[in-house]
Amino acid sequence: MKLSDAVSAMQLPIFAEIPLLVFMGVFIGVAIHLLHRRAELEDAADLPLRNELGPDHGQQP
Amino acid sequence: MSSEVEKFEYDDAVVRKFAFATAFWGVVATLVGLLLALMLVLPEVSLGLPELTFGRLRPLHTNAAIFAFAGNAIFAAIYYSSQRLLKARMLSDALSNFHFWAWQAIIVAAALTLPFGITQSKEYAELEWPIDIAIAVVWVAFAVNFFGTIARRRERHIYVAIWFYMATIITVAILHIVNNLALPVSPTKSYSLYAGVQDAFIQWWYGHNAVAFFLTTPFLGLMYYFLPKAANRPVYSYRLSILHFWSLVFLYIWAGPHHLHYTALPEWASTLGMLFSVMLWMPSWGGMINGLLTLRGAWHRVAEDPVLKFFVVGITFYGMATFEGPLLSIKSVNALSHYTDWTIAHVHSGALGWNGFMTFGMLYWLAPRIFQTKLWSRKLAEVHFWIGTFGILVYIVAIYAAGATQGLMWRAFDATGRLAYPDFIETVVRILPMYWVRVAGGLLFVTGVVLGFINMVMTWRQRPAKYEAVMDEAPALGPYTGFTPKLVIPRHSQMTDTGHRLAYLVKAQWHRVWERQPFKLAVWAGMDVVVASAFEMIPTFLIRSNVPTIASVKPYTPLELVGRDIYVAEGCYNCHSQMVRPIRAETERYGEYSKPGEFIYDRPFQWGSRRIGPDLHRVGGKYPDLWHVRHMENPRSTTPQSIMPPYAWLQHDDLDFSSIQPRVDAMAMLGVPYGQAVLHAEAMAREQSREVAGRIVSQGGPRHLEHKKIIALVAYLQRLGTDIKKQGSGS
Repeated sequence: MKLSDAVSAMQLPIFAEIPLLVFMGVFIGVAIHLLHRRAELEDAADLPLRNELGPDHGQQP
Repeated sequence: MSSEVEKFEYDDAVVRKFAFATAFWGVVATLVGLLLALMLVLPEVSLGLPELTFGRLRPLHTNAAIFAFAGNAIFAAIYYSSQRLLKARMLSDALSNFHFWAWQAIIVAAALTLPFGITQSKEYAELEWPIDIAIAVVWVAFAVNFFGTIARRRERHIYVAIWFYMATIITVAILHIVNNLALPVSPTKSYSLYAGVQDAFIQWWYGHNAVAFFLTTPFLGLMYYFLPKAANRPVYSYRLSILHFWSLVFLYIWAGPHHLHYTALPEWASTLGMLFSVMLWMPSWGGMINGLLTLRGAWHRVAEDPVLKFFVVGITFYGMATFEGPLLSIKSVNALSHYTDWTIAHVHSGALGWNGFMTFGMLYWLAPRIFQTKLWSRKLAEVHFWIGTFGILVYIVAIYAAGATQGLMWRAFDATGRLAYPDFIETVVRILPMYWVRVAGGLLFVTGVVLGFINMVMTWRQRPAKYEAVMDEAPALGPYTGFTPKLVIPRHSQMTDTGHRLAYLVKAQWHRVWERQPFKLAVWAGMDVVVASAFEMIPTFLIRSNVPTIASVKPYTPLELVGRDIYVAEGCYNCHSQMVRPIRAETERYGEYSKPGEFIYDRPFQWGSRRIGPDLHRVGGKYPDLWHVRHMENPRSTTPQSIMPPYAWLQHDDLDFSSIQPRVDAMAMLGVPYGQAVLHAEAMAREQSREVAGRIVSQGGPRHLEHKKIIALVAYLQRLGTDIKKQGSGS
């Protein structure tokens, strides 16, 4: 039996249903996980605002 | 974590180079775009030169806009922001410089090959195989430099902008390699490993994800870094940005088939593409809202800061384009919009509004910092913003109107049930005034880009005699000693092992680990892309019923094959589709709808994406040979209002018969059943060319064309779509 026979014998919707289920699981998991980490991640959000040493030439009048 | 603080220097020299290149190529890309817009209303602009035809120059415009302008912009953004977010200088200055110069060389190579008809004809992947290999090498060097910098970072947490950059680097590599797999025939010619339906699928899997992972994810990384910097506020919701990342990376990769609705692609694939495209609307708008709300409390500054103005309008265009994208992916909408200027308007609202304005916002923010002086003219930046905004609006409104007008005219029937506008040229002439407005809008936008370039150059001229070293300090990263969640399965638990594993998965504690283990994050993001792609590709390639074979469909003759290669080289697919959709207005206009089995020898496929001229899939046998000769010599001799440029050189240029055998050999290697043609390709081509030339003479045409390129092209055009008309054809 060839791989193409096996794939041809499968119902097509399964190719969409499996990834959708995986996506929903991961999405819900990540969303729940993030809900509990507000303070920790707020600190991470400040990373771009930490400036290098020396003058910020963009702030010159 | 080690308490010893280390001082280090950032490499802004490479950022300066990429920023300059961005501004320069922005001028080039938009000027070529303006020239192309002008060609549609004044075809004489091409001056009768092969190198200046719309078909050859359009890929130059798209490649320059995507890979030269936007490409250099994202590299400038990545090199500047990654160093600061990771608290580390780039791994290797030599690799940074190699990346910069090699990328510019690739752009120049594109500019030197595309106008000469050296093309693979896959949209946004036109460059031929030697340049493709060069792109892969440069990309690997970039990836080594980027991931090497991550490896020696001094900041534990990987900020979300870096995640977007990682997804870009990994996915673009996969897309580029898979889509460009081809068998070389010569240094300037190759044939795709895929044929017909499968080639179309792979191309638009690539094409849509080039938009996703070259024009969206890196620009979102740019947004998540430069917008907080410019607004001096953290991103509105960091948690939302993480959801934005995963949703976008997961969903985008599926959306490509929506470019092929109602084509010969199996319907399940295009429906799948549509569903995921509609789902994409949510994370896209989540990102847009996250961007705009970052300005909470700083909106008053938008009125006086051109950088924030560019960012606000850029993000707004992101929202508009990502709302419209899912809308256009819906089949019933797509039936109207596809092949019209509606798609062109959609693309330009994204490219000019989102990519263009985010780039200019970044450049105006960067210029004083990387050149260590004041911006030369803030007022000029304001003028750039307003002229650019107005230009985009004028441009897209005209083209939206042109698209809707032409789409409606194509499908209009009169009271007797016949096509209301049976002559295609009627639908072209009607939109010419809108094309003039497009030229005006484009001119405004280009003017803004030129002003931006001038501002960059003048700011650079004010630079100090010697740049100060940009220093920073941070403690080196030691071994991680914080909380590390682990999957623990108690021995005497009432829950099964699977239950524990599922709970660990759903609680997503693994995510906390990934956030400080970038390579694991990168591998899983890459796996996500590969698995999602496989779920679409495996059935497309392996289910036999997807492409039913048609007994009467035979390989192209050697002469037709080389004629097809001329069609490819001239970029005819930029204006003509070869795909009659199963829609009544199309079958009335063009004939029998296109079947998947008709394209099994098409390497590459030539379905096209825009009908500036009519579809050509059933053009074979529709006109006499002489009509094609006259039409190619001067399109207005057969269609007085045509906007097609003349291809007179095809009657003067000799056909290189010696190049035919290697082409046939390559096709045979790819599995095309050529039979005797493998042994006598050149002789067969010469014989057929004499037949075609004889028919042209008998129809009152010029003599001595049997050695000219036009003969091969006519042979190919006359073959198009005729196989299924032969008697006894069947599946």
